[in-house]
Amino acid sequence: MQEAPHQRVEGRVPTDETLAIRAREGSPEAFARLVERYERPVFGLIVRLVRDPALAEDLAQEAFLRAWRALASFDPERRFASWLLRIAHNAAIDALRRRRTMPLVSLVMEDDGEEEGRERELPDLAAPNPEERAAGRDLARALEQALAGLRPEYRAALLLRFGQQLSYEEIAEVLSLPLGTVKTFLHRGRAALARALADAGYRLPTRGGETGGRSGT
Amino acid sequence: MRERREMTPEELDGWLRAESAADDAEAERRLALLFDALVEPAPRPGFTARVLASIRAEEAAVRLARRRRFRHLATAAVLLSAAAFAGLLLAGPGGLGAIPALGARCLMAAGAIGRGVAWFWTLFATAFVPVAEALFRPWIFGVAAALALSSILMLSSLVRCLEREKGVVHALLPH
Repeated sequence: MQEAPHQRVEGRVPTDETLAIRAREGSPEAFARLVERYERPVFGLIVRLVRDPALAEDLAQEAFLRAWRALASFDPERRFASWLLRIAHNAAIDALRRRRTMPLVSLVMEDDGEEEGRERELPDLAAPNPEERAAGRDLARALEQALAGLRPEYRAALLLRFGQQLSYEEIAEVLSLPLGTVKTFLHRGRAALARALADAGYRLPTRGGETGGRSGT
Repeated sequence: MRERREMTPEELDGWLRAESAADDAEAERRLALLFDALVEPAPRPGFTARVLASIRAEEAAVRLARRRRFRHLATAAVLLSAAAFAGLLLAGPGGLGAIPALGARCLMAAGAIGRGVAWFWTLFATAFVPVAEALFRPWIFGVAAALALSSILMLSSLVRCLEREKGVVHALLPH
């Protein structure tokens, strides 16, 4: 079982910063534990930025390699997660600059065997469990696609804020942006996300109390 | 690993409502719930092993480059030392009688420079190289120590050789 990232409690489970110090002193085991803790957050951030799982895996590997090389410059007083995600974000941005036109690859995990192109149904609040699950997957797919359509800087800010639960200050550090710009990106990103979902049929609720489900069927 | 939770229409509805009401705090809280229900993409199994393998490969390449650098340095030092040895031998009055006086003086000067280089190499090999390299790989200490010993032996044989040639050492010493 993987350890959750952002382990802050000293004791039996060493903190990220403690592991980073051990790794800096030459312990590959400590670095391996950090990789295990952060492979999903790092890969998740990169894959949602570059939208190509194969490239994202190479970039995630490259990000960890860069982190290993740069361990000497890591300040244990600062949060390891922010430091690592900054490296991962830079790796993704470098790749985006190299490849201006990225093919859009769906990131929705097709674990349900549903055929592509099937007409989606309205979410039914009284539906039994399998249908609720299908509706939930539809919503997740719509959110992923709306997110994929955002500008990369908005996407990165939203992913770091809501996917990685970073503070505004940490996001500013990861993206190398002023705090005010981060707040603007988050605000505009949320608005753009809501618009994209509305365009996909998940419209804003009206005053009459309609649900936010897909319209137009 | 985080347990996957299904997203519900109410959650989306709640977020959209909060957005339309311009309630930033509530909108953030509800959007965080939506993100929490997204599938967390994961790399293929064995990702950690692949990262560690790439780190090991890079470390091996760095070690190889360092070893090459050290070998080049050692070769250059040995060549310089040999040049110094040859220079000192040739510069001596009894070393090569056929050399004209000017040539002999030039060779003596070269010998003095060579002697300085040889001493520098000795100090380098005995002090700097072991300390610097032993920090990384202990076995390099052994190699450096052997080189230092060979340098010392070479210099001592050089001095003995020069002592046999009367006046040479005296001529090379600063007055």
